[in-house]
Amino acid sequence: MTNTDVDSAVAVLRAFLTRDFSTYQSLREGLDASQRQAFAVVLAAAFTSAATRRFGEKPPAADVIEFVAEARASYPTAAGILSAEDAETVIRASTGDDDLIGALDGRRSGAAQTAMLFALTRENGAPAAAIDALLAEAAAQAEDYFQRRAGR
Amino acid sequence: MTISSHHVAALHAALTDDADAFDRIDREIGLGEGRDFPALLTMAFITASHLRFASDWSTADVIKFVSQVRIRDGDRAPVSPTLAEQMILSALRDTPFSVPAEATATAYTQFILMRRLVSDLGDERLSLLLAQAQDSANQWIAEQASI
Repeated sequence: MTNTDVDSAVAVLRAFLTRDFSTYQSLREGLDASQRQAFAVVLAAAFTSAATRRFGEKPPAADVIEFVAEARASYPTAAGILSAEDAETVIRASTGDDDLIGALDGRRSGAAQTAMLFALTRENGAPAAAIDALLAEAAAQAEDYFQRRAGR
Repeated sequence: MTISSHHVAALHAALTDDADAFDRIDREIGLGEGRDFPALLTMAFITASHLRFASDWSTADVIKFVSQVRIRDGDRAPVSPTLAEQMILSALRDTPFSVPAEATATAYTQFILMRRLVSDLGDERLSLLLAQAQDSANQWIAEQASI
């Protein structure tokens, strides 16, 4: 795992969060195994930061239900693919409900995190600078994670 | 199999939190036996869904409605949002309900949703809705018997 892998992952996620979906699609399809792993870690780090900032630790169920419903209602086509259960599970797992960590397989968890991260960054019309800051923080966490793992 | 006025009265009692009346009717005719009561509940649910959502309803309306039901009924046993959304969407689209789920979970979800679907109706409109559901259910039963 290299910093370049993390950079690639950040570029993919930035394209998605800034609604450049054609770039996102082509970059995502071009990721190799190592870059896909980096993407999963960057996504998880960015999502956890954004969710914790938005909800705090162990938010009331009603807050999560309401946010997810608003997000899914804004994108009804995506709502047919992403269930409320999955979306609520990834938010609650990342905000302190440890029993839910690992409740979803990697594919479902990644899809739900991606969609909810998009909703979290869109909620208050987050400017590109805020998205860049979030991704820079996530990239630093991902690099730190990979360095610690390599040093074991 | 026929939906009688007892079944209608029992559903009315359940939807208006009259547990004593519901229990009394249940003891008299045994609501848990047979498919009459579930058939009435299903027909009333479909009718109430069409009544609650305007003709230009959207999937977003259904998602938001289900979320509000779950928030309001948070102290009860949780309702699956996927099950609840699909149940209402099937009713509104007049398509068969095809989400795999246990019969108990389906009936429970249907009832919880039904309570909220009719919560803004007065007693008179609720009675009218249940009478309409009774007619529709009996008509459906007759049609099934003739096949």
